[in-house]
Amino acid sequence: MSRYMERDLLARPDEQLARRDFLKLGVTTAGALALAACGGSTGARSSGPTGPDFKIGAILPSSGTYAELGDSIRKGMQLYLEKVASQAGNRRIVITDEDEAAGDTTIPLTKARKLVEQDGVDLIAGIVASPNALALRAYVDQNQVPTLIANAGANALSRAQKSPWVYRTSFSNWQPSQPMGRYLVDNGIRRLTLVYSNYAAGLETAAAIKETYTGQILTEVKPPFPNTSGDFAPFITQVNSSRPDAIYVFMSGQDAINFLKQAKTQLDKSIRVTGSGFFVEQDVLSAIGDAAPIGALTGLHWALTLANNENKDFTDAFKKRFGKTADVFAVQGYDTARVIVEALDAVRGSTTDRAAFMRAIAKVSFKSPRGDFKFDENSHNVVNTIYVRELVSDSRLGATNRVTSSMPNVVDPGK
Amino acid sequence: MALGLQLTLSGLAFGGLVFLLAVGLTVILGLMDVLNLAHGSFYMLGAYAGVTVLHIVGSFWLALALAPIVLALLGAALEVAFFRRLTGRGPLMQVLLTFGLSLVFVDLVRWRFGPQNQPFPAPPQLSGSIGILDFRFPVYEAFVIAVAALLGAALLLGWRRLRVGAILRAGVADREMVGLLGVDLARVFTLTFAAGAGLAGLAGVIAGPYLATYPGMDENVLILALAVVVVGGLGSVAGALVGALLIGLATSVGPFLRQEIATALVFGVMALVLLVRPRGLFGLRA
Amino acid sequence: MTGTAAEASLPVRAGHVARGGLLAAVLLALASLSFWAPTFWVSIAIQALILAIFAMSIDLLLGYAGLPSFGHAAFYGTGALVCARLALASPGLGILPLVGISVAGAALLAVPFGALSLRVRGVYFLMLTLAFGQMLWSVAFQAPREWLGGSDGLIGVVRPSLGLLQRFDEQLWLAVGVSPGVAAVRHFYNLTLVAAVLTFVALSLLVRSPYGRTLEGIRENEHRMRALGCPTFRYQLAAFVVAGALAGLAGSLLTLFNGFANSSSLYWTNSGLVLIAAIVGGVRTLAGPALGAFVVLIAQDTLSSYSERWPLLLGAMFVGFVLFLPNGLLSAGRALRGLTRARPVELRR
Repeated sequence: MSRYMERDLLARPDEQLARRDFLKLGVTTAGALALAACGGSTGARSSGPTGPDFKIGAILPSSGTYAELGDSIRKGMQLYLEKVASQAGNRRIVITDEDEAAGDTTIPLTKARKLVEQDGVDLIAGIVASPNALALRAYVDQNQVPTLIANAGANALSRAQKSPWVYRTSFSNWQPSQPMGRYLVDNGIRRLTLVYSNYAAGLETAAAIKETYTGQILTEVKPPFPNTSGDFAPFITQVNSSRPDAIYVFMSGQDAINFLKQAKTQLDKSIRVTGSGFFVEQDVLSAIGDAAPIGALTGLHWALTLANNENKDFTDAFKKRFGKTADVFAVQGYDTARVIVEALDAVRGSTTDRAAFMRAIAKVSFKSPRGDFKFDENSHNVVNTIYVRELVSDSRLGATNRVTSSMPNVVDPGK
Repeated sequence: MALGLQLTLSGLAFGGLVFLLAVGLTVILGLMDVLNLAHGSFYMLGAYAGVTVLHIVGSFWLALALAPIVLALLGAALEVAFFRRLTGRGPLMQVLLTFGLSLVFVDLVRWRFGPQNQPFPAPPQLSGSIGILDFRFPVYEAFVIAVAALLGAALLLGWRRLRVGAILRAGVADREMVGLLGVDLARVFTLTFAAGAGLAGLAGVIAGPYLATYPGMDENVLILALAVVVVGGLGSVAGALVGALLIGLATSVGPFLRQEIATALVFGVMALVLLVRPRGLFGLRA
Repeated sequence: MTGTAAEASLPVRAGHVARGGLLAAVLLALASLSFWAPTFWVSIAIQALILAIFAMSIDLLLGYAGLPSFGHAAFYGTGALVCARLALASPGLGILPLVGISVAGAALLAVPFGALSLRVRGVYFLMLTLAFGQMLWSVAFQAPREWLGGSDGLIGVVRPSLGLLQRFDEQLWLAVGVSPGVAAVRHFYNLTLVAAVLTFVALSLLVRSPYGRTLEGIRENEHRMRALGCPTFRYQLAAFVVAGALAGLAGSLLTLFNGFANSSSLYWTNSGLVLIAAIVGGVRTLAGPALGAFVVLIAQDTLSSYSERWPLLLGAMFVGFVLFLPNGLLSAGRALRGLTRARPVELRR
């Protein structure tokens, strides 16, 4: 049965795995490895984990606008767990999936309640959208539920709304953009126009770059979020008429795709494209084909071509396992799983003292595909190195981001 | 001056797309009293049908030709299977039925194709841009304007001059009478529904290279098509044309004037028309 | 054909007793839920009760006034946001003034919303209310973050205590060794249950009153009522305001339960959801929409946890209801009861 599962799953690398498959995969992998360790005799004593299952409640979108991101994060988590045979600290790791997008903003909180009160999970991981993470905060804080945010970037979670029970393995909206201001100035961009989706993440990005950009900000073009008509022509026209040296862009998903497709023909060729790396991440690049803004300089805490061993192994393994090119969200999922495993090992599987477990989480440190991974005590947020990447046209990979420089130790101020 | 022209042209392109979607919706609503919220699903399915054809055969033009046919067949099937049963039940039931159907279609698409955006390149003949005054206008958008204009003219002509147009116009004005005059209403309904679905599917294929192709792509454009139907008047092709033009220009120019009100503007226009002249600009009945 | 009273009475009486018994059992279960159910079920029940209040309010508009509003979530969301905004601005404010002001805000909004919408009927009314609802959503969404939270919403709402009453209720819980958090949830359930029952009673009285009868008359034939000299607009607007106020009540309870509010509560999909709940249960019954709320909420919740294909299943469920049970579950109950009558049943061809 185990082999059938493996073969069946590998034959459909692109499909999302249903919750039960996920579970079975964890079990069969652990089981198969246990059997292998015993020399294949089914009757022999298994060397698998003996402690109680460690249950993770994964709240990620499997429907709606962010389903693609949720899929990447889930796959990233799964890849790492498979690497350690879904066990750590002498406990088997089991994941229960819930759809973050199964309704409006009140749903993720309901799912969290279910996971904690009905399924008895030991930890909650995931959350792509910031409003959902913010909605959960009071609940997990009051009920002392260890929580790892694998994407949602709201600055508040590292500042006014930080909690001893909530740590973030992804980024705060501030991180990718704050150092970019200085970078742009140092590279001769004197006149800048900001282009960002008019919602919290865009607003926080704009505020961040303004902290270090000392040149002239000509105007801020804020298309509505989401841009229902998909028409960016009026905004691109506004950009053109402000005559900047460069634009700094923050957009993601559909909006990024529509914007770039239209910018290809309508944006003034003399304007350099820069921005927060999300708008040229893999999910966007695969959809826009040759509308990719070659030459774009963006800042992000990872790049596909980042040259370190961990990243090479990770991207190869991800592609092989899922037939999908890794993206920054997959890395975040991968790191989240690793944080859990490292913390579990550190407490030797004993999580009855939840505060001690959180302290172990706070102290983890390892080499991740994005570089050195560790949390900042003050902001409960990962310390990121922000890489400046240039979008180039690679003969093998197509449009891809190449790292040109890096700004290490970008720590969210925490207030 | 050039800015105004550029905004107008993009507005026309987007308006043209919305027209293709709205014309089916308005005739179906005017003739059959069916408010079909699954009309957006036809649009989405058309785009995905186009992607599939493109994938298999590699020809955009073939996709453009085949997708509407597939959608027309689907539309006819749905009309016979579901909508027949709802005659006379009132708008709410249809809204809820079609709401449910759209959930089903979106999820089916997501299941089969995944949640990610599908690459949908424009054919090489339509790539690139043309220089107009001091800006560059995408060839593809010019193509959209051309297709919408041609189809609009053809539909308007057919509506006014052909027998089938007369039947439809009469049906919108007084359905019972038309039935009494011996016209096979059931067949007319099915064909109309099919044609509307086909046009929506065409709009989907056209939107593919221009906007994004993903499972939830229907929701945004559907609301706009609804606004066009309201503004233009139920059951009027000319109304759909004029309404689409206005809505297209509104979405293009609106954000340029005041960014914050951009989203609310479309609904505002819709509300205003409903209040001042509920039957719309060219509506055939109150 | 029609039996004498004596002939038909036994199965009919048995039917009545069964129905009464069922109703009593349900009410007893609901009233006592906070005592025996696991905490998670209690939180689901709270959300179901909130949706039930919302659904009963739309039944007034849809079932009794005959006005299919597709923008009702605007009042729900307004109640939720006003409650959150107020609670964050004045943390000392008690629960009753908090809820009261939110309800008043929603009712106030209903006046222009309703007055303008009532200029049209039928499918135009549907579309106009949709348009207004979406306009309000976009205003709430685009408003400055300091006011209504923007896309992130307003979080950190602390539920004010009901004073002695709450402390008494919670002491009972703490005495049995339950944690304060759990006690708070169970207490809030009782509060929500009281609100739901009061809503039901108030609406029942309203629809049985002369006002309610007139409203139904207007629904049946507006022109005739007007010809008889009835000021139909006033009656309909009043229904709009009452419905809006109650939807606001539901919204404020939601905020107090979750501790946050988001403009997404005003989005049209919530208007659709509440209409579905009302139809699933059976419109024009008040109890129907309440039942429908429970069914829809539990379906949505369990389906999405059970399978990734939940939109497919949920959509199919809606389609099924519209096609086969357009009069709702309560009507199915009535149909079933019809089968137990002792008289020859004609087989359907």
